[in-house]
Amino acid sequence: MTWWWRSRGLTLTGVSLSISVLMSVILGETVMPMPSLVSALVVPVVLALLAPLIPVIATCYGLDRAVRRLERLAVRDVVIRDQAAVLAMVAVTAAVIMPIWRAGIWPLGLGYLRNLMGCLGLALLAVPMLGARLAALPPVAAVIISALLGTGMGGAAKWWAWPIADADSWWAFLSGVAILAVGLVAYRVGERRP
Amino acid sequence: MLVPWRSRAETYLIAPLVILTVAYGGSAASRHVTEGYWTAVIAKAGLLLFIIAPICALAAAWEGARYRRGELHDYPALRPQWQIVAVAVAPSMLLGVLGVSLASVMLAPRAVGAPGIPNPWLLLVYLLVVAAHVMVGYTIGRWFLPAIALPAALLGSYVWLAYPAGITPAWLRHLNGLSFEACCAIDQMPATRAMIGTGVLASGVIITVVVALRSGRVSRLIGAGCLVLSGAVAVGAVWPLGPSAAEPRTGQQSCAGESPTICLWPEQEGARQTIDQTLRPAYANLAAAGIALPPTVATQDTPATDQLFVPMEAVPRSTDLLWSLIVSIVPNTTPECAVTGPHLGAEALGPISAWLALTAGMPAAELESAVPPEDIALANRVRSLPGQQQLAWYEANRAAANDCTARPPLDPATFAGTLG
Repeated sequence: MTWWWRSRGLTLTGVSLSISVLMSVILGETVMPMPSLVSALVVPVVLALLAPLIPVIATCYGLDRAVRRLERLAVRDVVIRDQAAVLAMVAVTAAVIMPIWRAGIWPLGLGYLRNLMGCLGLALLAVPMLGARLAALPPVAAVIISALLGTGMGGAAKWWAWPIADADSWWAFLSGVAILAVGLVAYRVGERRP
Repeated sequence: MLVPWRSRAETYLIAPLVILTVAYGGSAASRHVTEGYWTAVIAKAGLLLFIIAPICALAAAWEGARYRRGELHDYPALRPQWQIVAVAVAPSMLLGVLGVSLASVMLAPRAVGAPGIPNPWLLLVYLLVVAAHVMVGYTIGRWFLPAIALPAALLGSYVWLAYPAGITPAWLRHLNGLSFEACCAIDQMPATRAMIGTGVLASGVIITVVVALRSGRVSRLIGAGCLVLSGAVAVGAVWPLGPSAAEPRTGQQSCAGESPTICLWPEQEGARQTIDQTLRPAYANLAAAGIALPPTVATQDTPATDQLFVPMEAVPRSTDLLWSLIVSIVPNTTPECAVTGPHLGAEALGPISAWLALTAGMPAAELESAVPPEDIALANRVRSLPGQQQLAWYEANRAAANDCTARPPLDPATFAGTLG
């Protein structure tokens, strides 16, 4: 367990998740311009919606450190631990965010949680296909493509552009949940031991 | 050290770079760009840096990761470090050159045929910016595992280019090379301080990386020193700048004619006949109505009182030109008293602008897009008065436009018969 914890860099992941949440709360509704091809030349994207990429990158870093050759021989199931770690990240974040979101202190909380789930899901989905080394790129690409093509003329996000949708969009939230679920299953199937 | 093309990241990144640059460049070219002015067009092309530089940084990070994976640092090297780095990053840099060239080509149709050439200093600054991102990307790739290095290079590069524009202090945005995209009107050029700031910082980062990647603590210290020094020089250069990266254009305008003498930039020379045919009759009509105007029309804003600054594009439309003349005579500015309270005199701006435009010879139909119909109707009523009374109405309302507390005497009936 200790070896698994260290090999996955979970301390770093935890720290990066804390910093990311804290940074998002402090930055509030600060936006960053991103290039767009369909409406204005640039669309403002709230930084809090991009911040989940930090713990997602840290997670991919941990998964990339895995010594797969040795883990295939492990007595305990490592994949289920990885899945549990991801779910724990989401659960801890939800536990921290939901009270302050419900209290109206941080209205973007739901959007942060959604993007954390969606990006983690995409990264897990990418691990069996691209390898953990490149797994952080699909979530980054999802954000960039959503900004590039995912806004209508009025600046509102299209239905598929969940990473840049309004923070209180339930459809986008459900998309995040669904992508996480698919990612967890794909990781389970793709990383199955021989 | 030469790596087969199939395993180079550039091979796979060239397609997204080209597609995004062409698509975004086309989109940018269709928006507001100062037509027919090479410097402005190349400045606008700088907007594409936030697509080009992150992709190049990603490619270089991949190359750095290859170096790390090969554990080359553990072996003695025959070649000096800078040479190893140069060979590794050259294809990423070529990708950057391709991107900057493509960005310029995509915007170029807005200036083709205009006198002059693309601003070489701006292009040099763009290439330095891309090179700095490439070098930092490569370093990140060498220092961190790819799972962190690749997204960090991509996102870090992107955030550094995009984020400073949205925050204060304003000078911060002039360090990354992206602030030129909002430059320049035809009487402006990129601020020298912004170009120096961006260029020095980018060069400093490149030198820092090359020096710091040599093994040994002394090299790292020298590298850190380079970074601090270039950062200090760059910040010192851009510190006095506001949000805009534009400064008044230097160089001589060519002046011709009398009453008024019209001074134009080289880009506007092709349209001199249209400008002459529009401005001279308007000037004559306004002079006949008793409006005193400076003897020279200039397309550069100067404090000189004997010049009237009339902003115009390289190839202006007559209507735009006439309206620009009117706005130059009656600028829509807010007097100091109106900053905190009401500005009752502002009611006069529409009618006096409409009266000036109609008097200058602008057809009422073309005025409708700029002035409300009731103001045009009022101006037409004023124009039915004798000349002296029209002038009295204009002067009274022109003076009242700056008054915050009193309503302007807009009713022409007040002036009917007063001077007759």
